[in-house]
Amino acid sequence: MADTDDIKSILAADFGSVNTRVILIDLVDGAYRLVARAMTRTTADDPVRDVSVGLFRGLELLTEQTGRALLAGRKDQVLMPEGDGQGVDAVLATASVGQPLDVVVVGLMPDVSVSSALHVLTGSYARVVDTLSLADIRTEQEQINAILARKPDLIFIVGGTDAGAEEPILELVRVVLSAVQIATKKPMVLFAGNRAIQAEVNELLQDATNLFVVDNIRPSLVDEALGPAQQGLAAVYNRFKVNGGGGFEEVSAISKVGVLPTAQSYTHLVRYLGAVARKDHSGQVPGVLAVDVGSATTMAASSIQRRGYTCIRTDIGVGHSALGTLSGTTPGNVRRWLTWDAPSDEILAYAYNKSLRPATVPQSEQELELEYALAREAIRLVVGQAREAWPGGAKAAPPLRPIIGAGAVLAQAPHPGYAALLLLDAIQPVGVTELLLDPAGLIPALGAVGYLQPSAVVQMLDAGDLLRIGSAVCVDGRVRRIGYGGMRVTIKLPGGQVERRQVAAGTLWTYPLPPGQTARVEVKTSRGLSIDGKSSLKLTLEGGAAGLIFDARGRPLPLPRNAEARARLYPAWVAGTQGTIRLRVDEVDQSQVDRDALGTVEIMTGEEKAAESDGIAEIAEEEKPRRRGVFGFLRRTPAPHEEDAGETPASEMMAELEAIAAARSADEVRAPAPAPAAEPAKADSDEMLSELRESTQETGKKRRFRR
Amino acid sequence: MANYYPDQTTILAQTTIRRERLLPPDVMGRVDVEEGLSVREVDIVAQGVRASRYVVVDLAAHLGTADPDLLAEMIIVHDREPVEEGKILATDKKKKRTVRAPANGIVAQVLGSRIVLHTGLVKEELRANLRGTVVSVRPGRGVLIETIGGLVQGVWGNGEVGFGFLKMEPRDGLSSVEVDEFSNEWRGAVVVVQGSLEQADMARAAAQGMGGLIAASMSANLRRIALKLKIPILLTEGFGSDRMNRLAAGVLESYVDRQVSVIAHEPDRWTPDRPEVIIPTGGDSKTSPPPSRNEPLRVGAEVRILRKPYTGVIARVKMLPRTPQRIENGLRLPVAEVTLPSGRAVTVPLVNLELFGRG
Repeated sequence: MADTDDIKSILAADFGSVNTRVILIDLVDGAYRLVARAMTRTTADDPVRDVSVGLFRGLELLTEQTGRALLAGRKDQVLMPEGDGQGVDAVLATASVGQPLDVVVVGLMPDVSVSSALHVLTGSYARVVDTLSLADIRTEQEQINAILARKPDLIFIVGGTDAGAEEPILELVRVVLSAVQIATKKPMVLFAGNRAIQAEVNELLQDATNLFVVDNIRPSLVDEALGPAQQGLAAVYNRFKVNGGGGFEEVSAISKVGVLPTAQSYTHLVRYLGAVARKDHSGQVPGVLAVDVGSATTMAASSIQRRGYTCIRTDIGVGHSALGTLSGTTPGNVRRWLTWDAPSDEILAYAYNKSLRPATVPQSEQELELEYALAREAIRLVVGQAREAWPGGAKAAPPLRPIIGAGAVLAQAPHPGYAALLLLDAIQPVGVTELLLDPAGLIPALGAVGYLQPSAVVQMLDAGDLLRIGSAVCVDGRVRRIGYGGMRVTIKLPGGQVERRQVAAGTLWTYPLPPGQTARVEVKTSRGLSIDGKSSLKLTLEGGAAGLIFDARGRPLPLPRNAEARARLYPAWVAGTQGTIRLRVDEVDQSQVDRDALGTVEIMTGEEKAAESDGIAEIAEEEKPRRRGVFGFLRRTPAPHEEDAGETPASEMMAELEAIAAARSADEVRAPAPAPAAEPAKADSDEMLSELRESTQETGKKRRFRR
Repeated sequence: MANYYPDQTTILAQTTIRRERLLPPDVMGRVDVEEGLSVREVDIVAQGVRASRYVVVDLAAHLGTADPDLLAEMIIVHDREPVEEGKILATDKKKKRTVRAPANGIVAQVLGSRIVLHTGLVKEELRANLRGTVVSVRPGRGVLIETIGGLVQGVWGNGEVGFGFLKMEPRDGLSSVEVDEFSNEWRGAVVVVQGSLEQADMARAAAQGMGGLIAASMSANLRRIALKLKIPILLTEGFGSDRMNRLAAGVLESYVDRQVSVIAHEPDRWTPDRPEVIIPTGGDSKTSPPPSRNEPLRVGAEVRILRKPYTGVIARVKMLPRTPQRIENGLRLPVAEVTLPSGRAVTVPLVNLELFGRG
């Protein structure tokens, strides 16, 4: 870890496929806060092909915003260290732009060491192009040819327990040596196998190529230690970026941590949030999910039962990889999110054109719908794949709390509620969840900052530098009749004001409770619907930029096949996330709702409607009020036996983070932390909040409406 | 407001064009031309061979020694030497042992006690693809060629390269061209279609032996067919039914009956190559500066709008607001106010604008 004693201000840069984001972190009243942020177009592509140019352009924007000089020389150097309120003490860099690492995995046992290696690789931008193991029946000659034909960037060697056999893995190392010696483009080698042969591996390979040696990924048959291999992979990624040129050599030289893969930041943050999560109202430790929808790559990082899972798809996205998204789904699946009957040709043309001009944004409403339809499908595909690895498989989805959305397509949504809708539509969580958004691109920075100043991560999360969209209560069960039944909601505000609302099945509604405010909420569901297996629930929820979202659409979502029905239903959903309900039940042609998604749909009679309401059970459950911030609902010091058996990445950083969180928790019991004095500039958050206030006023006029 | 640097698509009637033509890095090659030489489109400027397979010959196992000094005396071939199957690679005269090449190939490397042979050789030839002058040579890899002339970059190509005399499509459309194997009117011609390309147009172009098609757009459903055609197809606007922007149409119209190169690169994220039409005219590079590739957006600049509802429209930047603005679909973004040819001013996100190569 870098010497961090004198670091007061940090500049974090994240290099994406379309945008370069820079954020300035500084001490405000003794705590690290996000002070300013800026975004510029990437300069990784033609004509510039130098990411440092984009970095300096971003710094010019930051200087313009803050009045703080950040550039020195001919505006081609970062002003370091900080002095007289100018410059910064440290620069950190993360990147997702560029080609993924092509990796050949070499190991002994496919189910043991090779499996661990693949686990490590899922957390980075890597593509496994071949695997060599003892189960491989190819001759040595064929194995060498296979490595040469694949032209890998990295050969990842694992295998052998620390007290285990040495010769079989050494034989594979010699095969690798032959291939490396012959290869025109020398692949790097990462060795994370039997520690007893590290010296021999060094002797064989260190003169032939860039060699990285770390501790054994499988010290014994039952122990898996992923941390050192993950750190080794981060070092390889940095070298890969530097070797690839394009300005990364310059960026790596000024960054205290080299160039880290952006995905690793998500993995670290989510694992940390998972590790400090506490049991919720249902008695379960909720999972944590972060979804980043990019132009070229979409990733889902999750922590389920305190174990981390990462799924990165470098072929799925809404820009460069729009075609990949369409290949993973169908035009029909995209069409079901649109309010008009778009021909497949039109959907295909949209995806082609978006991949040709990935930085462009929709200007018309129709194109915005298409963009969001692709985004929903991208998230659905990646989260669906991630779910398959979760304990219990895809069908046993645990409660997720929070769900964090990131990526420009979510962060630039017209209002926070719209971003919430996209997440709810694509992930379809059930039960009670919290929705957060990363409009500033903070998460990539947090992962890097964690290496340097773990306390800064905790402080920024606690201060709410991630935008809190709100809490969502989502019913489970199939909605068979849109507009009838649903959930009855009672919201008791601290001032004694009570808000009652019937949220009809198949719709959603948002109560605009601002961030930082809590309310007692009672929800009762109609027959066939439930929340965490119950038909009634009482709990305290915190608001957000959108507020409290009550999603009575059921699961799976009732998506009409008919475009006219969609054209009436979907705007009502969008309006519902802003606290208004435009939908009239008689506007929806129930017969057009997708029966595959929904089951049988019937129009409900008046008597049936009354019976449905009477069927609401009166089972209530109490939940203690929660505190504010990300830690407000997550923080808990886990018991030792609850820790993940496997070593976490950057375990030192994680341990430090948890210790800080625990210490902060103890402090706050004694004396609540004072509110931050001067709020730093956060244009997007402020704007969203002002919009929220406007929509609250608007919604207030309609509150007398009762069904 | 700090500068914004938009994407650029070069569309210029007269400029200096430099293009690097290189063999792939894994090809063992040689350059066949010299600096200063004039080349034509079809001239081969470099050639080489690529190995599809590697064979490692273990000399130590055959000759009974791993001593590098001894082996150095026994090896009778050298790097890059072509060998035929059965040719002696090394011989121990004292013990009368020999090691022979197991297959036809080229000696790639001698690694200690092993010889690596490149086998399964595939020949690679590199053509100039444009008419111009070789301005520099990279030994073993390729050349840099310069020409003066018109340049129209597109957004999509089908991966083919072709050359021919430029023609505009007939008034009644390309499908009105009668297939006549004895007619040379359209044979070899590169035809400009200012609207959307139809399947019938492609069929007619293939049947009549046209040299290439430059179109504004085509249906996404035709992409697979276009990729199978052996003549170059280049789109200036993209997929759909958009018409060609007036700048590109103007440059192309001004060069009717000129010899052009259509280099219809299929877009690839990892390479800088763009599909383009090059029209060599000759002239002085001093009066035809190369495209300026990194210009900020300024008030008064001529820009192309890339997204609906103004796709392909050439407009002029009227104002650059300092703060992000909300556009009609609700998104709030940095924008430019631009004046359309009709005189109407509209607001367009900055990311939906591009420049043409001259600020």
